[in-house]
Amino acid sequence: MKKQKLTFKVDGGLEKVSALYAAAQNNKQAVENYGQNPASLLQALSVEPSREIRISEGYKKLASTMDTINFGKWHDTFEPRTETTSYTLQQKAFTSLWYAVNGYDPALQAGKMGDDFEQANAVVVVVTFTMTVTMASTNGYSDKFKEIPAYRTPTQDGPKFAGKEELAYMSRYAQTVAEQIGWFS
Amino acid sequence: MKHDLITHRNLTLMLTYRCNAQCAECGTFSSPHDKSEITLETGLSSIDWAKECGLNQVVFTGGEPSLRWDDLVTCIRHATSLGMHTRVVSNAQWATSAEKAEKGIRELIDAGLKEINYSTGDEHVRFIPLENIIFAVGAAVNAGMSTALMFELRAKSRVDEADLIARLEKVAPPELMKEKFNFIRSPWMPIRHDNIAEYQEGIYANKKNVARRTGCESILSNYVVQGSGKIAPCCGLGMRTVPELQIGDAVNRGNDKNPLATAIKEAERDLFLYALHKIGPEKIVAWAAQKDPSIQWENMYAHRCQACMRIYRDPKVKQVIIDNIQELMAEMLYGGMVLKQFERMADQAIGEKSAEKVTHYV
Repeated sequence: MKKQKLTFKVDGGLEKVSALYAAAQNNKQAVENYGQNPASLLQALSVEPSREIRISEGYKKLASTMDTINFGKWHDTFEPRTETTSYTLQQKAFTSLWYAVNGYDPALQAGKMGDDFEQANAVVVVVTFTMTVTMASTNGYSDKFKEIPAYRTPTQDGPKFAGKEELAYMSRYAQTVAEQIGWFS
Repeated sequence: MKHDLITHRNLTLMLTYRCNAQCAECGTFSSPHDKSEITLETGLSSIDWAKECGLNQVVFTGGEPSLRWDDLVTCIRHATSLGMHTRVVSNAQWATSAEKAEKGIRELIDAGLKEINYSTGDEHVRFIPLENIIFAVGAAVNAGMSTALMFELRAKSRVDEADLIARLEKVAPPELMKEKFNFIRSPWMPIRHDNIAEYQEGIYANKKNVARRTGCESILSNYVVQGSGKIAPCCGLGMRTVPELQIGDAVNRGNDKNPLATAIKEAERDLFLYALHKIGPEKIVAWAAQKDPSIQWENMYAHRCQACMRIYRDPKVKQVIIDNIQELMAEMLYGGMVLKQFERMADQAIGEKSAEKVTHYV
């Protein structure tokens, strides 16, 4: 018997995916519709679903609560990178996102953390408190981080704005929250 | 390639699979016995094809690339002449003395080399003395080159890491070391997915940390022309053993004028590769385990390439994914769509804030 290959080939491939995303970019309703009918995502790529398609709840929750996220709150959470902190996020990081998606603010409810420690959702709460732990890097991690000017923020009361890399990090964190809720709760 | 889903692509060139070392569990199965090589002409052509495709970095690895020293230097010079950034990954077998290390580095810099990565640890030191690493790091850093040392991460290492770091700190002035040198621990990975290695606590993927594992930054970003001439869409360990990852051929290319472009197009048709890029292998294994709870995965993998091997090499995991691939794709497509929207909203919010008080940047 011929071994099956693990592929999912689509004519047009990533160009088609990119076009799909572009079309939904400014269309909240379209995103919501895709969430309600995930088979339509495949159809948009000219792939006929072979059975009912279900997706997890995490991204749906993120999509439905995105409007309530106070992005401004995030800017207050970044601190300068140093030799000893591999990531620059303090415990209040991303509170707003977590609150929006999950309904409570971990920074204000630290007591809840212990109770929920074994629950998957609470694991993300713990993550918000331990962001200085070296992140991810499955291929390796570096001991040393260079201080990058973009990371340098005013030390007193001044606004702290996210740069491009922080934005990417927020997005990764949103992904973490969505997947933690969706896949592992 | 008219899309913004993959932001950068590199060429990785394996001039040879041959290596003077014979590490157990070598991720590329390199050894003194594997003499697979591409010709210099194929190497140079690959660089030309990469340039035509808009790739701007060439990484030379292997095998041990310095075993083809003259060809390596010629390729670096060629890539540099095309305005491409270059990096060499080497075990430092050539740096047998301070003088030889300096001479070698001088030659590489003259050719245009911008970065060098060395590797050492329990396996490598069986074949290449630590002294070579010390000489090689010293020569590179003192010459002002960006230098990294990949150190095999294990639960118990026979190489005294603290002692090695202490010795390395003496090879160049502290300021230069700080600026130019990175010490990177990378989990030593058994090449079989069912051979579980021992690492320190907290390194393994499990339910508590898997959501934080990122997508694979290599797949669809690093295109590898291997010592065999085959082209792969990632430089992952064990990649040679996965038929799905053999997507082109730089040697047996028929009339194809740019087999690298053909390979990129082929790879970008396979949205499962994009799922590996966006979701990452650990999460995909965890996802498969939700479909079939008999699949064990927690506290087994520290290196993502081993989780990726599991996906492609474990028939049970592979079959579960094949059976449910449409759902996985829908999950990925929807997640990507939501995150794109999220990024746009965050970007707008940040843009507005930044515009208000941009002078507060230090």
